[in-house]
Amino acid sequence: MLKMSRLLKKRTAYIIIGISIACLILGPIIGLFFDKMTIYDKKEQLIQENSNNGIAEAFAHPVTLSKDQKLIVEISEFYTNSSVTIKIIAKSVYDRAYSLNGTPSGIPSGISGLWFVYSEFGWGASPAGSTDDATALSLPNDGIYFYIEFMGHRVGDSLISWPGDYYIIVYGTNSGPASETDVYFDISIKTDGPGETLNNILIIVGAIILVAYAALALISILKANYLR
Amino acid sequence: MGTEERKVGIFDMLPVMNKERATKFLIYGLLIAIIFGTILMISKSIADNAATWLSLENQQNEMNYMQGLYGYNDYIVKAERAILIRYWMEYQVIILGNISRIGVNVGMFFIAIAFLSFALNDKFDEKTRRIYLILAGVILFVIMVTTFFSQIVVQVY
Repeated sequence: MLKMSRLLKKRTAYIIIGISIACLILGPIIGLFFDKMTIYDKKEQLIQENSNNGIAEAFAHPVTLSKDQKLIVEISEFYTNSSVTIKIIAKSVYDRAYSLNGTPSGIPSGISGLWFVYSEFGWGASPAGSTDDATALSLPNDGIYFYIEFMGHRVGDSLISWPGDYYIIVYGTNSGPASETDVYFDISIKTDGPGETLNNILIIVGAIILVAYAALALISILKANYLR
Repeated sequence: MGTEERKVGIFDMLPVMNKERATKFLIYGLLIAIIFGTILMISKSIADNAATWLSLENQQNEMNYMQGLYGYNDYIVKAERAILIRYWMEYQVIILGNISRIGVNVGMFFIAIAFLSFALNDKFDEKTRRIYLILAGVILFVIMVTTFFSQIVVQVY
């Protein structure tokens, strides 16, 4: 009768193979789940018309980017009489403008935004041909939906990573009666998550467990039966 | 005079083994050779189809971009990663291929030892033992040739 080591017992085998298969299956699922981390998501985000005259009244969301981390902003504007402008600026620039709120240096339209790229998706359109760059986008003048990617700087439409602290600012006006000052827009802010790293780690761990178990099982069979 | 107890190593057992043990060697040798041979063929197939996989991945990547699932820079990153994976798909055959070659040779060594044991077993008739000896010789020849050269090629004209 073939001698078997403890490693080859049914229960042990099920547990070890089960763990490795779980790692291999969960890797892509967890990777996909943590691919992008939503840090802010709001429909009907409200700001006031005076955001156009002072950065303190504008929508501002801080973001810290690490090396090779990407910021993704999806912004759309479908609301009556509302028009907004989005910019991404360095934290230092925001802090300075904030401290000078109410003076010409604190007016959002006077602040230069950093370069970002935005994609205008479409079937049949080449990715390079349907991507453009800008330092500010006005909705609905330039378009009513934008998918923005930002890493600090860019060359052409390719992003360059400048890790650091940034602010996404949105300010706008209401073109309705003077009494109407509400300005609405939809915004979703995401950053690159640890999805890919988790995916790679789980797949490598799963594969190593499976290969190591197969090798050890083979060795143990040979050892128990022949190599004594 | 007392008797001296000598430890019996694997080389002392080879190739004079009983029929049952030799049969086990033959079966396990075949099993090892088949497992590593299959690994080698799968590995080669992955390497051979790397370019096709890349085309598929590129098309999927482009369609995901067109649907707006991710932006241009994510598209570039995924395209670059796909190229890296394609290179790994082509390169892994070098690593797995060499490991498999060792595995197949070990398996064939077991088979050769088994046939040699059959050949030295006086319970078989002379003709059968001769056939076993020839088989063991052929397998040893294959092991030697595949060790010193990459492969054996048989061409029929």
